[in-house]
Amino acid sequence: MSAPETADRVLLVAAVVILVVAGALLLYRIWRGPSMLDRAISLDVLAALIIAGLGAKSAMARDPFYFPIMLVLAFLGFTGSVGIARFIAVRDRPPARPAPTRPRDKEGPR
Amino acid sequence: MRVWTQFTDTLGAALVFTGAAICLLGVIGMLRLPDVLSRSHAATKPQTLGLLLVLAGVALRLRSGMDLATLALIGFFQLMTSPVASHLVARSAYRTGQIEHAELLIDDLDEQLTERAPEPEPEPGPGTD
Amino acid sequence: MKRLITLSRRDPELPPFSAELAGRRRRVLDLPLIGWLTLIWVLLWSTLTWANIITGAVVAVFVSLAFPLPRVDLGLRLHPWGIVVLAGSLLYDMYTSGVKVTRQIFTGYPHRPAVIAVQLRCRSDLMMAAIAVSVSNTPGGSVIEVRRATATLFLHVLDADQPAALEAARRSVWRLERLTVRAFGTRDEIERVAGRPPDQGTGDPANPGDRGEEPDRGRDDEGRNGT
Repeated sequence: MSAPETADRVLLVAAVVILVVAGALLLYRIWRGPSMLDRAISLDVLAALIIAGLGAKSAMARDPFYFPIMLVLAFLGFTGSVGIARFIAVRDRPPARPAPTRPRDKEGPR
Repeated sequence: MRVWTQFTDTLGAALVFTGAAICLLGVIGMLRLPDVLSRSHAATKPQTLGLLLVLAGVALRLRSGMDLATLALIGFFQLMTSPVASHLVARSAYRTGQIEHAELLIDDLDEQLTERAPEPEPEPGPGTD
Repeated sequence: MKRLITLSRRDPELPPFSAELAGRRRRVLDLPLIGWLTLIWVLLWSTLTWANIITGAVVAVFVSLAFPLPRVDLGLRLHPWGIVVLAGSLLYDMYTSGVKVTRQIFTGYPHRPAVIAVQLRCRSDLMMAAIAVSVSNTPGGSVIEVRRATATLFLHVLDADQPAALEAARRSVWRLERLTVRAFGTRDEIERVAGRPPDQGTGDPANPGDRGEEPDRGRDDEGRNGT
């Protein structure tokens, strides 16, 4: 294996590691997320990260096997968070609109 | 010729790496920013720029016509669908009062919502295609 | 004898690029839609063979007969050079505002978000949807609300310390509007967009004064389908 190919492998493995770290941090946000809407956004980003990870894997193997999965994720990945935003987040609506309180926000914004 | 393909391969790997790094930056933003709408700003970055760079890198490494078309379609659908979700999340966050209205410097929407006294009918979001 | 399939070239009543099937109910097929669905089918199989193309076309015809869409002229025109310019400008915007958001993330709080209203110049639903999509694809702006009646977008701006930032956000939305309409719009939409932006935000940005002067035209339900 020549030197540039080694460099390619190092870059791609580093990319996969970075994506896995990003996914782990995102799981923290999903676990912690003060509201359901945070979890909805995180799910969306998680779909994008999965697509990117599959892309890195198929770039490493030069193999288009996972492309249909990436395609389906790209056009169906948003449905979960749409469902959350439309149906679940409305259910835990705070009581009054003029004085918005954030009862679930334990950690505080700043 | 050999040098050229090697160059393309390395450039593709570098693009994949850059896209992954941008995804990580966006996720860090999602961890650090204080409220839902700000987080959705940070979430746009891995969804658009990071993913597009990764797809471009994969395209540079694969280099066959059918795969290029599929990758372009993946990018296109990602760009078309992620605004729908982020718009619905932002709208629902605003309506359920999950942002601190006192924090906002200017709020043009609040008076429009309150002057139409009953809850306006939920319109379908833009770009539901 | 009646024809089995009537193309829109022969029958001027049909919408452009469509075919009508004979039968008890008039079924109109949208040929670009069928082509698009066939393309997706072929790409999902990821090999280009005649069998894939034919089965894809059959499935596309079946789907568009089973789930018919309302017949609406969307007003979608494709201008290739405009699309290229729009794509380049979107990529550039993604880069610059990505840098801005990153700086925002790492310099820490406090930043002052704001919700601003931006009045658009074009009125068609498809154009508004396209503008909203391209605005929310750049990391700096997220669309909270869209008013169809007054063609107003409500944006959440992350960093609004000074009024100049708000002005810059509005101006970038108007620039994206111009580019988007030049890429996808009809001719009169392009002419409308070529004028100067509506004079909202030249003075006090928080002043909602001249909004709603337009008559509330068209809360009709055609063109509601958003596709």
